[in-house]
Amino acid sequence: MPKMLVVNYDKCTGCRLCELVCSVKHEGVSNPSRARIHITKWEMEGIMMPMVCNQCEPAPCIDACPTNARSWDEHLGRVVIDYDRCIECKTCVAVCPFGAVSFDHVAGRIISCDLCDGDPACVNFCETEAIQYVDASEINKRRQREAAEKLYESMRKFTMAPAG
Amino acid sequence: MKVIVIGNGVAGNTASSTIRRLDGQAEITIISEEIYPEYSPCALPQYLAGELSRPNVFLRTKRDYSRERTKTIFGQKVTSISPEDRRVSLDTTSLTYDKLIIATGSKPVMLPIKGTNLDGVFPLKSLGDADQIFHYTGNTAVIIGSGPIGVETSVALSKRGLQIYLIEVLNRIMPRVFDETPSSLLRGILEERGVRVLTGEKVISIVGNGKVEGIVTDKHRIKCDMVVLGAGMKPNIELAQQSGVNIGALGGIAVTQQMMTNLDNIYACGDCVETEDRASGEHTLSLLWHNARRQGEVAGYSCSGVPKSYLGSENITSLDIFGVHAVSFGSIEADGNQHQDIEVIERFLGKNYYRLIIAQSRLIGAQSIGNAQDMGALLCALIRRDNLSEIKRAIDKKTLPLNPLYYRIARCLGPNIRRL
Repeated sequence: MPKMLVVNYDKCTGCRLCELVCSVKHEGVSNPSRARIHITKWEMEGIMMPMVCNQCEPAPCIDACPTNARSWDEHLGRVVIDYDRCIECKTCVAVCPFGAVSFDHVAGRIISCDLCDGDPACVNFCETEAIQYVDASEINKRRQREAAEKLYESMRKFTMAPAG
Repeated sequence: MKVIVIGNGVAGNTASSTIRRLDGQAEITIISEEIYPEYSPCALPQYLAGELSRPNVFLRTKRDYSRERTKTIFGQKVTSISPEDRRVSLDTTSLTYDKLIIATGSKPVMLPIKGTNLDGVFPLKSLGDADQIFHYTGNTAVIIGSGPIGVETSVALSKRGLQIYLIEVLNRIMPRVFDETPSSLLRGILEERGVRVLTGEKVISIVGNGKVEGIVTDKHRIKCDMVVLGAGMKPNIELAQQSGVNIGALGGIAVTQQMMTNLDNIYACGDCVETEDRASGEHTLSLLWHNARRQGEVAGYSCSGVPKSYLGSENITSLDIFGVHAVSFGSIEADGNQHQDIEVIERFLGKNYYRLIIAQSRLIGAQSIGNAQDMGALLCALIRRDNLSEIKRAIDKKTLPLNPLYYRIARCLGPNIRRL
């Protein structure tokens, strides 16, 4: 069975080590802006949220790609990109519901999580095990959804105070 | 089952591949006027700019068709369809079908001006057009019409070192895709790179002796070596119309959600059909890649007897203007027949610009320039017609990015909202 990344928001301390190791592994530099995972922080509310490609199936980015540069890799259960075909129209960046596809301005190419070909660096370095690499079973997918729901509920309290 | 697909674009090919996936026995034939295997028209500007090699414009090779056991008849025009005896006639032969898929796409709108037949005047629709523009020599080009195709062509030819004049009859560029502020920001980017943008100017004629020498507008005379017509596209429906297929009010083939036409065993998909807009519910001509692909898939399922529904078109424009990413979803504020109470939220964040258009607590449109990573979540809200009254307060209070907030919208829906 392919595996998937699962994020446990309660465990994330916002240390951003995942961003660093991701950029080191893929680009050879320590540069969070070139990472394929990003921690979104709302410091005052204590919310730390790792945002990373969800490896959707069917995926909006694959659907929208006008050159078939993005496709589904059955073996690892991930979206892959063929740079020979990519025309950098960035439609995938615009349609990703998770904001998980980005354009690397240094290398001049589209990047998104490739699961490090089956050995994700972010998982290996996450000290609190906030990111885990587990079987892509339906039950794990459901857990992931429920965790996101819970997070949203806690976030509401801070962000959606009555108007006035 | 004998299936004939007329048209070799993304809709026709997706339909054909879908049928093959579902039915190993079907006899599928794709007929196309063009001689090439499937290519991406969206990649033509990059080819023109010299950024993408010609072979990479293609999405399939002839071998891919034979591997899928799909017959091809390229370089031949279908002259008529007779639904009574389920027969399609070509220039030299005729074929019978059990199911027919019309995916004839769109064609350039020709301007009612003099001189469009001169040497050096090109539309930009097909690979053949792009080849001609690519090999045409000259120093100055005039692009008539500033829709996304006109703008992308201007960028591409400018990168090749040509002096570009981009002419738009309305008062701003990409008038159907962006409102005033973002449009003028984009104009600034073009002008910074040397593209001369002329708005509110009408081209009266193209002049020259056999070959283009210049154009005349209601304000200027401009010398040029080449003219690219970017006045838009319209559904290519003549063949369908002559065969008795019903045409909708907007000029596209009328289809059901299963991509069926009014005639038995005849389906249609892609740029030639008219559909409902998923966000507004109104009829629309979408003429966009992703919609054509989904329509092709639904048509393929329908032909194979699997009931699937097309949920409607999504109006998504995304283009790169000299490295700056410009995106527009849904409706713009300046659209006609617009809802009454429109609220516009604008945000400048460093080099990035966002514009949200909200009507009755629902997001009906969004535009961005620069980083577009928040746009996907907004697209979900738009398509789902989410009530934004709560979220809107948060938008008012917070600066973008909104990802943590919209993450939930996206997360709950997952990619399912985009399922067929």
